[in-house]
Amino acid sequence: MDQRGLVERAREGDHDAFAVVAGAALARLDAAARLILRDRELARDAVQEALIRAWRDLPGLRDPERFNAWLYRLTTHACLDLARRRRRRVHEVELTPMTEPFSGDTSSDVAERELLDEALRRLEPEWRAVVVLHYFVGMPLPEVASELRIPLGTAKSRLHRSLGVMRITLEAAGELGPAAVPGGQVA
Amino acid sequence: MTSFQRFENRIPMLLEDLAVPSLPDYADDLFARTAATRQRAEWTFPERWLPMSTITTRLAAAPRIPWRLGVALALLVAAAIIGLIIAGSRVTRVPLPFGPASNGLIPYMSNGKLYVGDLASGKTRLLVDAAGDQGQPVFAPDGTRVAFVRLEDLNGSLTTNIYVIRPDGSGTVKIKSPEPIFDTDRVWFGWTPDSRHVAIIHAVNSVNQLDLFDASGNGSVQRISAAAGLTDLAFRPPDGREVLFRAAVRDSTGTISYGLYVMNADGSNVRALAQPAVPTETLDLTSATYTPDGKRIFFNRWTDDASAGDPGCCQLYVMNADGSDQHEFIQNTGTAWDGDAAVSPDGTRVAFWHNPNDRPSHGLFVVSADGKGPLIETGPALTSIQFKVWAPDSSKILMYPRDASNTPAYVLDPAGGPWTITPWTQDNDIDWQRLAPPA
Repeated sequence: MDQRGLVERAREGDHDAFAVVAGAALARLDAAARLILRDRELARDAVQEALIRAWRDLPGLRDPERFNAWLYRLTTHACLDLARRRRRRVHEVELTPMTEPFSGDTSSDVAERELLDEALRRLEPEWRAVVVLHYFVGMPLPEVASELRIPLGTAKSRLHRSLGVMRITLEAAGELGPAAVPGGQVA
Repeated sequence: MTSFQRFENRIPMLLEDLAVPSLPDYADDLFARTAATRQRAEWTFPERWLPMSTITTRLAAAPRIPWRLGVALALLVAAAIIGLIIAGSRVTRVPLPFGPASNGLIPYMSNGKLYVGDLASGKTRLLVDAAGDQGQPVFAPDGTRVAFVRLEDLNGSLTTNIYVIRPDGSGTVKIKSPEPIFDTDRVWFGWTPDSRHVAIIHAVNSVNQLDLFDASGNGSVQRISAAAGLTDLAFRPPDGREVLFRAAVRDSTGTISYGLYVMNADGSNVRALAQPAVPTETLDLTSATYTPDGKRIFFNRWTDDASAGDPGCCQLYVMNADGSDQHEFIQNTGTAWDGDAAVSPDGTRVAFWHNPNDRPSHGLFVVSADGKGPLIETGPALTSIQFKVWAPDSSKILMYPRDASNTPAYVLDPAGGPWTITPWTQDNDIDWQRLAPPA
């Protein structure tokens, strides 16, 4: 049975079907949550909260084709809620380094990844959410804006500013040449 | 291509490396938890504007007896009465806050812009074309101004800001708040009956609070902490001297339930109209609304009725304003779900969603305010609940399906006749300006 059929069955109360379709998305939801929150335990909480809500509210999902996007929306909002609650409690989000296993990297890959990691840590969770949904999930920016309930202009602005932080981070690390400025001179 | 552009192109791959997707070890535990969770019927989602955190995490203390509260709301009521008197003496007549009025403009959002539209002529006027995420326009009861929410960035976090504007597009005022109200903390906002204050329910340290902001934008704000823990409210017609609110109550075991309470407008004399009875059920006692004469209250009651074939949902209840004579409005337990009453401004009819068990769809039904007589279905069959507002003159109902987006709204005949659509497309925030009836 295709995903649409499984979602329709899940919507009618078939939990096994839900486990299949949600399970298929779980790994990437968890990864997206880790990227947004930079904290494994918080990511776990966010994904659990999102999927419990997804199961509970699934009968209200009108378009089964939107199931995955809907899961990402629930997960992203759960992430941002958790981040905000935590930020209020401790005044700032503690950013936990990511220690993912990997293999086959070149030294350049490692350097870039570490710099991206550092740049992401400098971003607010709301900004990271835009970056993650756009670059990791692959959503076009209008869809990102829609899922996050923000105007397209805000989504573009956040992405632009996030890329600016990345650029600064890379420049500071010497991975990039100095920024070009209008007129062809070097800043 | 610059070196940064090359880097940008590699971001997707680098993100994959940073957080390698793998099935987490909590998958089994997670699905055990979802299996133990009941699904809702499709039309039963209360979170019209409520972000998830509001639904799932709002913890609150029981309403406290407001020993030291009151003067502020007493002044507010006095101001309301004086305001009404003054308003009545002005050259520009304004309607009373409750009851029949003439039909004015319809505020709506379309592609992030705020418009008002005239249903009779089809003409529209752009009010707000500013950058930012605007929404939820709602006219003051006197019809002179529109309040709307604009989400604005504050250090990367979205904050709620309330703006007020005249329907001709002039006089924009930003309502000042001493503390930022984060988007996810906003629960509800609306006008007080005197049209001079904007009431906002928002979470403060995880407890919902009611704040009354001066709509002139002078920065004055009053917190009505007697209503701490509230999730929504209604001012009692005809003068708003009493405020009905639903609040979360936590018992000694930490379990949350919801009760319906009423307090005097001065914050005194908080009393329960419906005690918390259904632990953790967020649908219970929702959508409480007064009849225009202030004598009765319609509200949703959760019922776990297995015979209906669903895990449970709502029945429409009604009671006297003092909490007496609570009963199901239309006896249909076991045969239909219904709820979300909207009483016509003239007080003669009630529109509500209704879903008989023997049909897959459901819709908007209208019945006499005493519950007698036929149920009249109006508008199309729906797959979800709807947002609705009566025309001030009670001749029409403006309706927007909950699960629609950027489409025209429906203009329904309460008598069940043919329906039309608005000449514009819009989002799901609906309201209707009240104007003074002809002299």
